[in-house]
Amino acid sequence: MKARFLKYWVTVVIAISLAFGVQLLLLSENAHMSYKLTDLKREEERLKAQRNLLALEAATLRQVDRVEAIARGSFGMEVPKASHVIMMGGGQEQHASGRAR
Amino acid sequence: MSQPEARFQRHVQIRTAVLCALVAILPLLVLRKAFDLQVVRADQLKAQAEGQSRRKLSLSPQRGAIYDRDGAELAVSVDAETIWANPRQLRKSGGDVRDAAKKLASLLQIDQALLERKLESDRFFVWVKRRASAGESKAAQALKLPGISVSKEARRYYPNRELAAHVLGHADIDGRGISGVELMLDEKLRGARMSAPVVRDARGNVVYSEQLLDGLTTQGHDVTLTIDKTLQHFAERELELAVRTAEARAGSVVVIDPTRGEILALANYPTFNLNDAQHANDAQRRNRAIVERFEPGSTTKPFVMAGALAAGTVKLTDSIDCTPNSLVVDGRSIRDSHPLGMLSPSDVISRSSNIGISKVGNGLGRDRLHGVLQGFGFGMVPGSGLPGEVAGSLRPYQRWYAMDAATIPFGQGMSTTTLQLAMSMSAFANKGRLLDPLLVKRVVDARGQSVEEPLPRVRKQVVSERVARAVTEMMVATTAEGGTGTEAAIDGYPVAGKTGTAQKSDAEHGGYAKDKWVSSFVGFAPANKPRLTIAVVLDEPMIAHQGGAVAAPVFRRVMEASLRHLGVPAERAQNNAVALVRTQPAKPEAKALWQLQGSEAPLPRDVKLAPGETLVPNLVGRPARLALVQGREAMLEVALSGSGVVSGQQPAPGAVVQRGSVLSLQLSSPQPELPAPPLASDLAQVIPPPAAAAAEKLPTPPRRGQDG
Repeated sequence: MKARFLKYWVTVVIAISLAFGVQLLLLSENAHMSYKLTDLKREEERLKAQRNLLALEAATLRQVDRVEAIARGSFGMEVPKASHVIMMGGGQEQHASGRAR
Repeated sequence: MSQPEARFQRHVQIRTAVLCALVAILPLLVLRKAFDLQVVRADQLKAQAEGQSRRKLSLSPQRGAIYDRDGAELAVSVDAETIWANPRQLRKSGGDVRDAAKKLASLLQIDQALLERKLESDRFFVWVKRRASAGESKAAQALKLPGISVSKEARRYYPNRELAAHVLGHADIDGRGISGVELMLDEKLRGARMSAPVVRDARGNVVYSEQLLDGLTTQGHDVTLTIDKTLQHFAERELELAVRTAEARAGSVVVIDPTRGEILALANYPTFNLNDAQHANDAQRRNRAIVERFEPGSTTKPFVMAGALAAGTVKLTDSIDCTPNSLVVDGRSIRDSHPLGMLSPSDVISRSSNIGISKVGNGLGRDRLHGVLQGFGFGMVPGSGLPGEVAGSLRPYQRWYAMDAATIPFGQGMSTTTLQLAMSMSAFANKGRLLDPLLVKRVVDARGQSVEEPLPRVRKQVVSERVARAVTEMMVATTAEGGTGTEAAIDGYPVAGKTGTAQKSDAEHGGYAKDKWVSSFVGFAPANKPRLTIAVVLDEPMIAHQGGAVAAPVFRRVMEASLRHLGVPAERAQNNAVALVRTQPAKPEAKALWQLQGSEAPLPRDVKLAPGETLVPNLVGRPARLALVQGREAMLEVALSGSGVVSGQQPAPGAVVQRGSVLSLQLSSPQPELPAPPLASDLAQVIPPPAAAAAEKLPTPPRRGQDG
């Protein structure tokens, strides 16, 4: 009777201890994942900030007057005369020129 | 069992029982405590735990971006470093305030005395330098001064500098809109400043926050405008050139999509760099297109004529007597620039007769004249939503003097703004319907969900489509030969428009100043299928003052570049019918000669071309590319079929046709190559060389030996 009681009792104690251990493990893992998530969030924000900076730089480089100055100055380009513009497609409206997006 | 053994056994049994009891009781105690913690006092303890680990973190929102209609960035926010100090901490840590101020001031190029005063204050927070460069913030951190910190702060940048400066407006250093769209949509752009609960560990590091992971909640909305960056550039470039050339005080240009009411460009000169807005003066910041009133002058005439046609007081077939060259009203005279005689309604517009339109206005009556002008939007705020937008003035007709009733039809005694004039003119281009101006195309939140997408809104059907078309034709005549706006004509595109030249009022002496003018031109193109309406206003031009001479060329240059950019085909591309005027008969002897030579037929040189006519070139034998270019140079629309070189053409070479007619070219593969030219040695066998031929004719010289 005693031996059986002791066996059950030890089993219960071990089970509770295991459950406690598992819970501790899960809590620890949860904390670890939270740190990781926060780090990733910070990384995401850093990359977003970098992307914004690059977008700003690209937009600055795409300034219409800058592009025009380079086209005229560096490449010797000029606006073609009306007689030199050939609309292909027989009266259908064409896509706008010079669209970056 | 002996007694000691029995006692010992009993002792073991007791100890075992006690141990069992303890083993049984302790977990029970643990369970009981666990039950107490997890169930009975769970809420209270949870609140306590959260109170210790959870903190509220203030999230500063990022201001939304502003884009043009094609998604090009016009205003963006990026993170910048800001250096700040905690003076209390600096002193508490034993830092030397004077030394810190000296080091920081020399590093950051700021006033040392001012910084020293800040650091001596009894505060927890003072700015040292906002929006410092990355290098400055790194150097400041390298000093390792106690209480000096660096944090991120959003900074507003305008990558296109002056472009659309008055439309965009600017935001201050704290990210608050000050003018333009930045102010108009400040609430949407700014985003929500809010605090989010975060879990921190014992060291104060953020462990977790659901809201931090969703950083989009606080971010401001992105705004897409109807502005077209390239058209805006054209407008600004040409306006600046015109203001400088004409030595004008200022100027403005507005470009509208007349069928949707969208503002595609709104330019003012002088202007300013948005990234350096604090150094701009009032004249540069002034959004003249919406806040500056001027007398529209003759640009009012089409609206009055439309009202008269709609009311039936004028018919297209009427003749209006504009003689003598002076109309006396209330003791004062109204004049035309020169005697115009009897004019049709179309001539009244195209030749801009003050007397003629005054009579038309008189026939319409004050109430209907006032009604039609108000119907076209005069005297009312256009409604773009931009801050500071004003309405022109159009007094109630009951308060008009006799002279007002006579001069308002040609735009004196009332006022308007450039935007309002452009919107009113757009009504003709939009089948008589007046639209509200649209500046915002779309507002989207940080997740890309549309928050606002305004649609074109018809304010009023002012006149019928028939009347709008009739007045449009009158305005097309204005830019044709004999009209006042020929400088606005664009090759290949029919232009409808009206010039305006108005004297400015003299604030000092009353009446009108003799040497101050407002020159304007407003119109749209292509007149038969309008794509753009453009209004140009130049204030006090010095070199010339006629709207047709000063403002019309600006209109033409902006319109031509814009139509080309938008890919609007020229009129002649749509005209498929060949308008053959006459054919020059080729002279028989010349024709025979061309056939004999097998070369291209020379074109007759003695052809007299009427205006608008052109001579069809001979393109037979030309490669397709060359034929296209030469056809275009002859002002013809070339239609190609087949491939190869031109083998036939219609109309025939030498025909005189209307410019813009279609020249059909039939292409076919080049003829098989001719046999290679014979070699010189072969030629020598067929055709004797001159020397040989000459030798044949000469008597054969006597052979040696034969003689002797």
